Amino acid sequence: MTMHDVDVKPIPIRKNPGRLETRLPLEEMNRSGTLMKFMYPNGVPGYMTTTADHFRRILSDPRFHAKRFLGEPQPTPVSVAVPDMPGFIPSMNGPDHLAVRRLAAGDFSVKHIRDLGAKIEQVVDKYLDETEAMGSPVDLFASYCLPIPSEVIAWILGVPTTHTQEFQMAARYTIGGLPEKLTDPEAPARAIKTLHELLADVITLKRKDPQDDLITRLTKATDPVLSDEEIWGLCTNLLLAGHETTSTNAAYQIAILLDRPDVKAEFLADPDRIPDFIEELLRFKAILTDSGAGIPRLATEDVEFDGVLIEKGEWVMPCAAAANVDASVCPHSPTELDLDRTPFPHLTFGFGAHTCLGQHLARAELKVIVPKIFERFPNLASEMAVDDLPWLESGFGYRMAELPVRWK
Amino acid sequence: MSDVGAMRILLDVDKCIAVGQCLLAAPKVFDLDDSGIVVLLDSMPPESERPAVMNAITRCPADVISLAQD
Repeated sequence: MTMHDVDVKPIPIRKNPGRLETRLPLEEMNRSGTLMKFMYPNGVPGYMTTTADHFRRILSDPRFHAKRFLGEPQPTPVSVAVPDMPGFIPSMNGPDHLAVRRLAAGDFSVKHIRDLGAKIEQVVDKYLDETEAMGSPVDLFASYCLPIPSEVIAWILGVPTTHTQEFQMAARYTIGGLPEKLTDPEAPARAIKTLHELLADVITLKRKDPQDDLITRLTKATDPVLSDEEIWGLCTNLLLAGHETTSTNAAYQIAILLDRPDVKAEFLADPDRIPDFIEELLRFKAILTDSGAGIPRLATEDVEFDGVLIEKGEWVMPCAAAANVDASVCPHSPTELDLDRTPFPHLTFGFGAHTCLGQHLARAELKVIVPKIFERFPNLASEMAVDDLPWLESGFGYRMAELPVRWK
Repeated sequence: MSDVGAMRILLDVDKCIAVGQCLLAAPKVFDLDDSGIVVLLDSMPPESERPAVMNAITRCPADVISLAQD
């Protein structure tokens, strides 16, 4: 029997899991070894992948096109739609995608990111000082985890410091969201308009006064030449992709360590191993797809895939969180957090031509953001049980709404 | 070739998406240019590099690297 022969069931997102539990029954799904067709919370059906092999194969198959915010299955009841933007690489495919992606790739390459360590430390220190000045208790998500990635991205792009704050606020109102705006499906589109006005100003500045930054390089690109609209789309993508994900991962990793003193002690005991520990934390909680989201792919023709007929126009939702508990990539107790695990290439950053462009930046940020908060505040404690932490379950994603902590 | 069984690395650079996993997996064999695109340092590395090269092949998300089937 193929999946399309049965009624499409709702995706089994647990309503109120312990916050350190997965929201989907990943291990059980992975054991099934099949594509599972589900109705997603926004009322759009899609085939979720449950294995690492399917995850890699779908994401490497050019018959499935990448599309974002264009009617795909989403993890929350309110669909987020943003206008299709030229230069927005998550919705581009084939050679056009590759050519535009490559214009930005050098600035995010592992070699280039290695040179940014001092800059990241400087931004992290600034927000540590601000957090300390706000006093205990404080919402660490808003004071620390959220602003750091957008400030670093602003710096890489070359957004002048006079515009940084406005840039960060626009970022928050897009998919980063603020709780009161998330029930409004039009809010992201409005925020993106604001962002584009701001970027238009910055592009004009860079054309007059070129600097050593990414936006200047994009204005000078020749293969291909980018229009201002394409630069907006690309920069919007870079901001959105690196903002919510890294902030939420940082908050989540800090919350895990606050909840598990044994894990925290091990994490902080050996600074040289922190990059490996961060990898295991990234594997353990692939925030974006554990939420019930996937990496949406649209079938551009009928595809027979391991006995399942995926029809043209149907969505496939590769799920990194399910792939990461596959025995072929994580053989032992895959749903457990185990910092001593031999590091292996998890799939949290995706696979195929759209593999996360900013993954080395995310790693470089997390390995500073997470340990430094415990260095500054050795007595840091969560104001509430980690299972009670409020998470946003409307709007685009699934992230911590706040992380109230104290250090006195 | 007399060098039976030696590794010969092939790159399909047009597919490279500059994720840099190859450099992390096998830094003696692969490097990146300023745009983050793979550069081959040693197209016929010694046998001792085989595990690292195989790791690079597995980790590359864009199927850029392969071994010549001589």
